[in-house]
Amino acid sequence: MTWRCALIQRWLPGYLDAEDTGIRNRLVARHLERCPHCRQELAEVEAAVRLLQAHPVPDPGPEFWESFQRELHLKLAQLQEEPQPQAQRRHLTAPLRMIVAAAPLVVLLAAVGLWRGWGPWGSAPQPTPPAQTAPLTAAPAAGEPDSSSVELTAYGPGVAHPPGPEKVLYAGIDEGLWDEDLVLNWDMDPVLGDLSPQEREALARKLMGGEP
Amino acid sequence: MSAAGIFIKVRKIPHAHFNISRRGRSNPVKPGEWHLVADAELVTRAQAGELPAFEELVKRYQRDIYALACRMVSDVEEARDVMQQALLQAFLHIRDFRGHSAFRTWLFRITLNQCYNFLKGRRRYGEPVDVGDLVLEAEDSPEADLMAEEERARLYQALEKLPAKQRAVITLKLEQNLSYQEIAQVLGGTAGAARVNYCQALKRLKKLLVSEHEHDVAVRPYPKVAPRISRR
Ligand SMILES: [Zn+2]
Repeated sequence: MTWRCALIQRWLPGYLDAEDTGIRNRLVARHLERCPHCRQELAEVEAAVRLLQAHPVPDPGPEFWESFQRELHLKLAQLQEEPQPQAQRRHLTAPLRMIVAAAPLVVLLAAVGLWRGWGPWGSAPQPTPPAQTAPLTAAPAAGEPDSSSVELTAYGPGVAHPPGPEKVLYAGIDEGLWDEDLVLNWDMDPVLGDLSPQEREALARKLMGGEP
Repeated sequence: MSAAGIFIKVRKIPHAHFNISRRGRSNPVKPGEWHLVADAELVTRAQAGELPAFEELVKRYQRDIYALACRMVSDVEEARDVMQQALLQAFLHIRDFRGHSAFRTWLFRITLNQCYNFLKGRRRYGEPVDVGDLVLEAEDSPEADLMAEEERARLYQALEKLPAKQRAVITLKLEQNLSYQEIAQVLGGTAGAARVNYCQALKRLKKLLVSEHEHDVAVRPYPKVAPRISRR
């Protein structure tokens, strides 16, 4: 198997996919015309796709769905009726968080004021302009609770609410589940992404001066 | 001070949502007509607290969610639990859905999160995986073709050996027909990365299937198919 074959075979699954078009597919097609190894590989990949699609997850049947929907309905109705203690807690904590966020600013202003010989709340001819300092320091801290408050206050009484929009971001990504499973990183360079260490080494050798 | 300003802002915002809620209630949907309502409107109504709207969305996508969960956890009972958890989560979080992706894509994301939690627990407690469960469930015709059953078993064993994320990518692409862009919306990363990962995943599945097959053949007296050079 040549280097070209290794590269072509990496592209074969995409070649089968209708979403993939363009120069890469033309390269693959041209290579397949004259390479029996890659044709064999393509046939095996196609067989894998066929096998998967020939055996979809069987539908559990109408009884399953009826009982599932009944059970879900009860749970949903229960959720809807439950008071939301977390919402109340967060309603309280949002302003508190803002106060906490503003505290260092107040301390800073007071310190600056004292250092300059003014009282913390006194008016001075040229103090650090609060109109400028306040947004700079407070805005980033207040920005997050602000947006979450928008979410939380939107929920009427008795309606379930989410803890926050970031909770359902990409599946499992925060806890590193998927990386643990994969040898390779999801966001790796698309071309080098699925080379084995040996292949990468060989590629480097080739790039730096001729294949043995 | 500025904190007071933020307070006023916070207090003003709910009215916008109450408007949605009123609008939702002003046009009641007749019991038998939920299936005529478009996803977007169902979502708006569900966000306004209309349970039947959410339940209609469930009916639309429950089979897809179930199929995805089955592929991920390889157990019908667990898949049912995962699906229920995912839908409860979706209901709790429905106001976070902004329509940046299709609702179905968003549900897949939540479902995979639940699958993840389940798989994490299984890994922690070292529970064995019983793929036979799904295979047996499939036998609805009494004289199920033995060959087909063998094939199915081979497929399930290979899928089970696949890392969870690769299983997810293959299912999303080949069974749920998501585009690379949509897969990226579910699992993160870019569409290009989703494509690369799909290619890797399918190659790996193919490899596992071939090795399962070769193992089966090796038990018999005749020689294997032409040896292939391993790329890994
Ligand atoms: Zn070739």
